[in-house]
Amino acid sequence: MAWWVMNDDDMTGVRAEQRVAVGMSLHPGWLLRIVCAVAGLLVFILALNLLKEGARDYGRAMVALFNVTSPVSALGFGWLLAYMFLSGSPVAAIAIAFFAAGTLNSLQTFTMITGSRLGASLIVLVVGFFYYLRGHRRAASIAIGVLSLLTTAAIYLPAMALGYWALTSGFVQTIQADADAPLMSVLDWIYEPIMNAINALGLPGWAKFGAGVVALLMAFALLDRALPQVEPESNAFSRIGQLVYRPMVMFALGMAVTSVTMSVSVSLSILVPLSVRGLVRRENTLPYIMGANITTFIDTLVAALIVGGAAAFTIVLVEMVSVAILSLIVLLFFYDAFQRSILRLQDSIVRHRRTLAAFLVVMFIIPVILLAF
Amino acid sequence: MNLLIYAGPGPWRNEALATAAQFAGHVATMVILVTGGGMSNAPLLDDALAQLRLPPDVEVRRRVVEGTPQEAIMTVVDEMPCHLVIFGRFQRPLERLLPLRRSDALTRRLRSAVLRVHGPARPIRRILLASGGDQHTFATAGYTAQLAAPLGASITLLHVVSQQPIVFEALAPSVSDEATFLESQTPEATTLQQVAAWLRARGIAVAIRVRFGLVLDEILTELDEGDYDILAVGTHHAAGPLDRVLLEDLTGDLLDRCPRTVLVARRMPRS
Repeated sequence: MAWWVMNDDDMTGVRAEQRVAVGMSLHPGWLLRIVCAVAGLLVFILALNLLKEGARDYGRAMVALFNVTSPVSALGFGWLLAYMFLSGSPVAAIAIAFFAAGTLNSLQTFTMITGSRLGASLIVLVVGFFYYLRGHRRAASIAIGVLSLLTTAAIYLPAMALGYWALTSGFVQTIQADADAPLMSVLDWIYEPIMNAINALGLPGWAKFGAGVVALLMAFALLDRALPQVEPESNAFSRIGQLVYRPMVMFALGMAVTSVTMSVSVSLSILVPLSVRGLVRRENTLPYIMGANITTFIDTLVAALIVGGAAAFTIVLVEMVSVAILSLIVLLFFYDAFQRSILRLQDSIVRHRRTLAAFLVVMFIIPVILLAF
Repeated sequence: MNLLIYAGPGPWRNEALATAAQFAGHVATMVILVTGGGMSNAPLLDDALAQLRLPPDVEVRRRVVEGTPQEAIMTVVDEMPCHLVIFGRFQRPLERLLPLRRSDALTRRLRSAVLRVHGPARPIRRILLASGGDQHTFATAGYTAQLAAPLGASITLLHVVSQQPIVFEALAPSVSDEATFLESQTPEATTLQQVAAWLRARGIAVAIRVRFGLVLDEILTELDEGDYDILAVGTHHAAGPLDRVLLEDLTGDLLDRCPRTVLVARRMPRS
C-alpha cells in the first residue's frame, strides 16, 4: 500500500497561518498619558474627599432612605448602586467613603463592596448592547456578561462568608483600628485648602456627594486615558481565541491585565485585540475572569488607604484575600467541575430569550429583596 | 511504513496486539517487536508474531531490552526510527491516579506517531478524528487514512467550537449550528472540507461533525455517543518551551481520560 504523505504544506490555497500577535506598547502620546495619570490620581483623591464630606451628611440620609441597616441590606445596596453607576469601582469607593464618615460599619462596608462587584458584573451584560464602558471601551457580549456574573457570584458569595468570618471572629485584628486615621498627611497640604474653600461655599451634603461622584467618574475617565493600549503586534497570547491555555496562566493574565485596567469588563474587552477575530475560547475565559476579579480591588485598596486608613484597608484586603483563596482552591482542586457547572448554567441561560429575560429580572429583584433585610 | 509494537508484558498487551493485527499486514513494510524486562520476556515476541499473522514480505525484527517498557521503546526508537509506535496503556484504571508509568508522558517524548491501545480490542470500523480546524489536521488525516483505507473504516472529522464572541461588533460570524458553521468561510470550516475531500478521493467514507462546548468534554461525548473504535488526534501544539508552560496539553488530557484507543499523529516523514 502506498505511503500517503499528507502535511499542511501539501495543501494549496489553505490560509497562511495567521501569525498576528499581540503586544503592549505605549503610544507616542506618552506625555499626555503621564499628565492624564497624574490628573486622574489627583481628581480621584479629591473625589474621595468630597464623597467623604458629603457622606457625613447626605450619606446617612441615603443609607436611611434605602434602609441599609445590616450587612445583607448593604450587600443589596452596593449591588443596586453598581447598576446605577454602571461600574463597581465608584461604588466600592463610596462604600469606603461611607465607612470613613462613620455611616457604615465594617461588616456593612465589606458586604457593600461585595455587592458592588456583583452589580458590576451584570453591567457587562446590560450595557453591552448600546454603550461604551468608561469612555471608549467596547461592550462585552451577552454570553461573556452572563459568564462574568456567574463566575463572580460563584466565587464572591462563598468568599464573602470567609471574609465575614475573618472580620467577626477576631482573626483579623486590624479591623479594630481607628477609621479616622487615614494616610492623608502627605496629601493634606494639597487638599485641605481645596476642601476648606468648598466648605466655605456652604454647599449641602448631597451637593458635595454628587460632586464627589462626578469627580470620581472623571478620575476613572482620566486614568483610562493614561492606560497603555493593547495592540495586535507580538505576544505569547495572540492565539487566545484559538488555543487552550492552562487555567493558571489565564488566571495570572486576568490578574495582571486588571491590575492595570482596574476593571473586569475593560479587561474582557482587552481580549479582543489578543484574539484576532474577537473570539475567545470558553476554556480561557473563566480563569481569566477569576483572576480579574481579584486585582479589580486595587483601586478600592488605594481609596481605602487614602480616606479610610488601616481599618478600611483591612476590610478591602480581607475581601481581596478571601476571593483569592477561594479562587485558588477552585483552580487547584475543583476546576473541571466548576468550569463545567458554570458553563452549563451559562448555556442554559443564554440559549433562549425567555431564560435570559428571566435571569435579568432575577438579577434585578435579588438586590431589591436583599435591601429589605 | 515501519511499525514498532511493544509486545512485552502489560495490562493491555493482548488488546494492543489484536488491534495492530488488523492493519499491520496491510500497511507495514517492517515490524519491530520490542519488549522490556530482559531476556526472560523474549518468548513474548514470538507469541506476538504469531498473533500478528504478518505476510512473509514484511520484515520482522525483535529487540529485547532491559528496563521498563518506556525505556525499551525509547531505546529502540533511537536505534531504528519508525513511523508508528503501538503499545497498550501501561496503567490499570486505579493506577492512573498515581504518578506511575504514564503513556501520555511516553507519547510526548516520542517523535513518531503513537497508537495507544486501551479498552477491549474491537474491529476498527469507525474512527473519530478530532480536529482543531488548523493545518495540523492534514497530518492527522494522513495517518488516519493509513489505518482506515485497508480496513474499510469510516472517518468522522470532528471539530469543536468552543469560541464565543467577546464583543457585539461584527468581528466574528455568529455560528451556532453545524450547517451554518460548515457553510461559513472560516479557516476551520475550509480546512475540514479540504481534508474531507482529500480522504474521499482515497475511497474513505467521511462525515463531518461540529459540536459546541468545551473541547475535551465534547470530544469524549462524541466518542461515546458515536461508538467509535479509535480516536485520532494531533500532538500538543506547543512550539517551544514557553508554549509548553502556557498551553494546556489537550492531547495529554485526552490520552489520560479517553476510554478507547488513541492515535496521536505527527507530521509525516517524507521517506
